[in-house]
Amino acid sequence: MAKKPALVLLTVISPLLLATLASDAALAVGLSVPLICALPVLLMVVGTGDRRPPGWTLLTLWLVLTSIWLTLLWLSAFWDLSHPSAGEATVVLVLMFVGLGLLPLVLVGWTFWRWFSSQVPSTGDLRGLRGGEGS
Amino acid sequence: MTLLLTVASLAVVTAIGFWSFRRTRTPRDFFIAGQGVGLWATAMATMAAAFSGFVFLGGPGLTYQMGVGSLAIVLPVGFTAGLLCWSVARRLRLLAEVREVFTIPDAIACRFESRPTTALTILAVVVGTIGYLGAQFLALAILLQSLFDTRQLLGPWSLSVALLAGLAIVVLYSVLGGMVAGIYTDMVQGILMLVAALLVFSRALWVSGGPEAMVESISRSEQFRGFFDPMGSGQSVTVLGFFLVFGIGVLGQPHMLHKFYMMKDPQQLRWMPMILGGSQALCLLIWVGLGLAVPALVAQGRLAPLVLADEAAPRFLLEFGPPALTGLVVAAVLAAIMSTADSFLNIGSAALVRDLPRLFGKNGSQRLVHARWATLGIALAAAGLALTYGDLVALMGTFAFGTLGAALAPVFALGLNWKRVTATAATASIATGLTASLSLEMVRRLSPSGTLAEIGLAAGALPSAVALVTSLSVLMIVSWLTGGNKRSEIAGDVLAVMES
Repeated sequence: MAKKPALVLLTVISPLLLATLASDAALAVGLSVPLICALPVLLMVVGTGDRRPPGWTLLTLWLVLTSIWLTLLWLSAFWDLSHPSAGEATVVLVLMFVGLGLLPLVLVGWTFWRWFSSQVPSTGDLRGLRGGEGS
Repeated sequence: MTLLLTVASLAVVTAIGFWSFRRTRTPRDFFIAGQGVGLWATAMATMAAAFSGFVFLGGPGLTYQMGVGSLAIVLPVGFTAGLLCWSVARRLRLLAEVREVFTIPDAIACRFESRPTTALTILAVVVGTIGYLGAQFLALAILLQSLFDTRQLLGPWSLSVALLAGLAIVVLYSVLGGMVAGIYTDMVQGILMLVAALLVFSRALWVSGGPEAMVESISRSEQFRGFFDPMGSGQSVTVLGFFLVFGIGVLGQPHMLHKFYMMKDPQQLRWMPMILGGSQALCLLIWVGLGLAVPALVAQGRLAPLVLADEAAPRFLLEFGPPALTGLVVAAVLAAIMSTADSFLNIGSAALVRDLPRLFGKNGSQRLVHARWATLGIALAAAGLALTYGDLVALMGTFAFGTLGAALAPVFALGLNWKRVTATAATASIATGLTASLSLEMVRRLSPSGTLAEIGLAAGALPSAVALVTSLSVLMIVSWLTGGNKRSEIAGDVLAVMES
């Protein structure tokens, strides 16, 4: 468990370090993007405690997110999109919405459903532990 | 027709408020709806509370101004509902099984048993409430200003008068029905928002000639040069900051977290990411649809360039929406603003009149009177902030969302999962997040360039993103420095929840 927060901290600190060290701002952003994308996934892993979710799905999700971000950055860096063709603009929109929006929604929702179904204790079990007031 | 539909929807919502009021008998009913709310009602109410004037008015305005880079705010919706359930909602709901927790500071009190930590949580909730309500008032003022064309009549006083009118509507609604209406009005408002979002999205596609014509006219226009660059006309660090703040900051939003206490059956949480995330994605179609359609219509010469970017949604509705649709959408925008406003007024006044006295061992004998005064005080402070902010609704919303995220997200995301987080670390983290967000925002607004470049940060850096990263780092570093094996210092029932 202690390693997971360490990973989260590394994920938070690294973009700042990279951004500080890199002489080229675009390079700093490019390097820090995968780490920013990985942070939510790492927090989900922390949230699962010792009973881990199906790891491959999360890993796939992370790879999908980061690779799409990198593709977008690549597009941004090497293509002149000031006046894109309708096709180029559509590619950008589809990558953003499908890759960053819909795909994670389905992947995270499905993974959570599978994991949660077998993890949460019944309310009866917890009520036996009832304590005091909130504050 | 527009006015009729708007008044009718407000009447329905107020009627539900009174119906709910009649069923409210105990503090448990008042604060967490008797903990008897079903899955769909919780999901819809959470969506309605989360989405506000920020999404319906601010979003299209921001996209009009900075291109598709603004969609970095929208895109985390693919994983935020899952992240929320995975790391925070599950713990909060289970905590409500073993303890009598009614508010967000209650959860912090149970976990850390520390007065300074709880006091700072209350402060963060109040400050965030004022900021978020300010964004709602500003959105409402812009809507009223556009609908009634008050700029011609009142000149420079137009926005102030519209804002005061908006303030009166929200406060009256909250006092009459909103405060006690709670989750059921939010649910109805959520459904109304979904219907309106789908209709407006379809209308926007139809009017602007379909996706291909829309994309082509924007990409050929000189005015919208760089619109389809993945970062839009914004700087990379700003866009990534949006993604970070809205991706992680969601874990510290009290108006959303509070809803999870109310669920009847914790097992139903398994469906929440799909239902909440799905409904949010559908609702965001209004942002995406209008965000693309309005620039397309301006590029096609069918709509005059906007004076204020935030007027993108009202201008579209007034010029291209049939009266029935405009009425429905105005009702939906009001619903979006009201549901968020009443959630925040409820949480903010509860923090002042319930959580604060309890912190000092007092009960508060005249809570209802105090609650009304607290509601009014918070509303006035929010209106004052909105009047002086002088920027886009989306940017004010980002500031408020980011402040709550920076102050509370690390404590909830890690504090409820990682046993090594100490009360000292939690206190330091909340204080850092709150102070950093407020002071950096002040620096940004006072600096000649309007950025953080003067203090050595990247010019496009978002104050709330920097504050979030800092508070998260502080939480972990101080936990490592002050913690040992903290398992024995956490109450048995809370530990059981954390280990479940």
